[in-house]
Amino acid sequence: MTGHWVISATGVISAAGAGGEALHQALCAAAPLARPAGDDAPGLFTASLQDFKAKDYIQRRGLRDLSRTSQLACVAAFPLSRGLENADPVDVGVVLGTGWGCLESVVDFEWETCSLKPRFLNPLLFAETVPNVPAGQISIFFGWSGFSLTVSCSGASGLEALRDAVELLEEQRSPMVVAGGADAINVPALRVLQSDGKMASTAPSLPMGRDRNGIVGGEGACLLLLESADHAHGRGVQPLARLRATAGRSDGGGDGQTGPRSANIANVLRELLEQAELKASDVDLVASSADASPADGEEALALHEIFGEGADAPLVMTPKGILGESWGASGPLAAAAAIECMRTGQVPPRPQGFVTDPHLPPLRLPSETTNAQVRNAVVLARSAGGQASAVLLSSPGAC
Amino acid sequence: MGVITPIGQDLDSFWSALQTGKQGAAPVRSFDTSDLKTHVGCEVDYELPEALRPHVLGGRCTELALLSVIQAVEQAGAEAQLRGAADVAVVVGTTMGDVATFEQDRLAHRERQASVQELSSLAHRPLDVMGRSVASLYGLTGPVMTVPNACAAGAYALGRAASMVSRGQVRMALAVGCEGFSRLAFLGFQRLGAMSADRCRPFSRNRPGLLLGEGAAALVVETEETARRRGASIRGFVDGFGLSCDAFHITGPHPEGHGAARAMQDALTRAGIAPEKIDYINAHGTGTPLNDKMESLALRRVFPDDASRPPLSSIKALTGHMMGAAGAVEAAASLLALEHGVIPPTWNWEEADPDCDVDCVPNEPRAAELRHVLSNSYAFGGNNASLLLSSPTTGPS
Repeated sequence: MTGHWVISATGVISAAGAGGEALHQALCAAAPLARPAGDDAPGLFTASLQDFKAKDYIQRRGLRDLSRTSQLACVAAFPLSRGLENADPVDVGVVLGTGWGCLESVVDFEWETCSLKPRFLNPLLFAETVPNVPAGQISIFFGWSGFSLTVSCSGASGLEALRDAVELLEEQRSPMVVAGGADAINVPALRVLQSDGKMASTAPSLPMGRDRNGIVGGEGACLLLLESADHAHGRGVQPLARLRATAGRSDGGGDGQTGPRSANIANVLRELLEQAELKASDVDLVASSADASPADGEEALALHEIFGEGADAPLVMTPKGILGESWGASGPLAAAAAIECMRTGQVPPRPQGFVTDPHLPPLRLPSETTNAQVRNAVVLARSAGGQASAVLLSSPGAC
Repeated sequence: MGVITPIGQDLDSFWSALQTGKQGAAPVRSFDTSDLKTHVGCEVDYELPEALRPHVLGGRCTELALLSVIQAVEQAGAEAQLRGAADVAVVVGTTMGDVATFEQDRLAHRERQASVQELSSLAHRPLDVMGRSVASLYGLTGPVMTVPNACAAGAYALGRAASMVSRGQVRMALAVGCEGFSRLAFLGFQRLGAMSADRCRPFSRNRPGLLLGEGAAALVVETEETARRRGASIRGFVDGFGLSCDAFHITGPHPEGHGAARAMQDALTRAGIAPEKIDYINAHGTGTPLNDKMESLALRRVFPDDASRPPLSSIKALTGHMMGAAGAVEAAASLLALEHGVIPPTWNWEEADPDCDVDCVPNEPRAAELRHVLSNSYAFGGNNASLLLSSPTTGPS
């Protein structure tokens, strides 16, 4: 990274509600939001937004026909738009990560093609089958016309979107980028993962915990406004955090089942620290991507290898223990949570019911909300296909 | 570079088809169209070598991607440099990804909703499966990136790959655009009223619309220095990659072509090349009334001087719209045009359209000294991309 890039606003919608504060409060409350998914998906546990309607958050017409992923994305973008009323629309680009890319719309549209005559097919539903449409809907809704890029890399999509956003800023494609990720609860995909034995069969299923038994499905969207420190200053905006480094690499194809190996995650963390010119001991907080799958062990090994253990090791939080796995949104949601930790000086505890897994290397998952000065935070994400991605955030005071 | 298209499955046959006007259009074979309004598409008949099968983590789209990649890597003589490398990126552009297996599985059971088993062919082939398959083929451990930017995705893939190389993030990148023939896309475009019933006639009066296609192209991207050091034959330079977004309509372009013009201007600015230096434009040219009118307007906006406005042509008349593959295949066609000094024409053109007041090189290849070419790609979501490609003899800007 060559610039001094900052996050000057966040837009958050998750099972915890809207806004970074609600997210942080839910994490600090430590009560997992997983519930039985209901009749549509018996045996599944999900942390979803109950009765979500985008119009409850944005009083604009035209939202009802959008896919749930597009609606979530637009709701997350809305708070950012309030600070950009005077910006030239060309000066704002959009980069959105999505893991499933409107897969549910693909399934719905396919069923329409089976059950309706071709002339009665819903053209709007067809449009929503195309993975870059949620990013396009953001651009249309808020008029941001700098550029639009969609990135897909399973659970690492959102952090990969942040990485790309930084690259596009460095290329001076626009002075501001709205970047992050979005994915809705995707029942068809979750049913497949359930049949593969990857979903939690009981709740809570807690990341890094002894009793973890699989993934809890989640959903949400989180968008961050990225710009240079100078540009934010010029607009009279106080940055929330500095985006100091980004890194990511794959395992060489992977089987799509197991996620990245610990060596790959450790390499990404080393690259991140080197780029940020920080030592492992400078990191105060790690927002883990652990999702209660067997792959948590690989992440724990890598974190232990890089950060060690004991009082000098960073505190670790596991947002997916509360929110579930929301794929494209997960990484940016964890980043928003880390920013709230910097702002409040409070790091959430491990989720209620957590029991340490004696087979994993020890990590500092606090048992209660901990007061701590968070200067530097690492946010991790990983994909089932073997990608590990990470970003390093610094508090405004450390900028 | 390597291509697999409805009109040619390697560079030579592809280029020859562009010169002779070989039509990719034929009655659709992948699924029954008897209850549909149109029945023609541009599909690829191919055979997958057994040796590739273990690396095919997805379906038809992945197979097409891999077939184009092995051609490109062989042609670039780059296999030794790739194998097991951590400093090589894979950047894949696609629209629908690997949905074809799901669609095929569903054809036998259209009376009921999809079963978990049928859904698994979709969920087990997420959008990043093509990139992972390419990484698996060569044991690559560098960045694997998927940009599902619809019909501009192939151009995005090449543009992002070139950016990663030029910034020194990676030593080399494999840029791939790929798309399998999709029943859902066929029905969707038909419902939008965007399809032709017989041929695609870009820039021609009364043009009926697009034909859906499939295919893939792969390009090996590296710095000039790296290529020269290893004695590689350079096919061309990626001098500029312009981006913009219409922020106007989710499926239709801005009617005045503002965004398309901005993407072309962005590519020119980034390359540091004046508009009058552009010798040819490979158009997005889908053959729909809206796109071709808009693109013509955008062209006149960027090149206002009638005398120096470059000619443009659309190869989609032959290949059909290969969606996520289109931008990469058309970049390959542009590089071949630079190499051969011949503009591939817009075949099937019948009559001048006052809405498309441009020189679209109708029906006859045209010899020309080509140094700099723009290749345009536009997509749902108002995504616009323009690649500025330069001849290897001209050198980078």
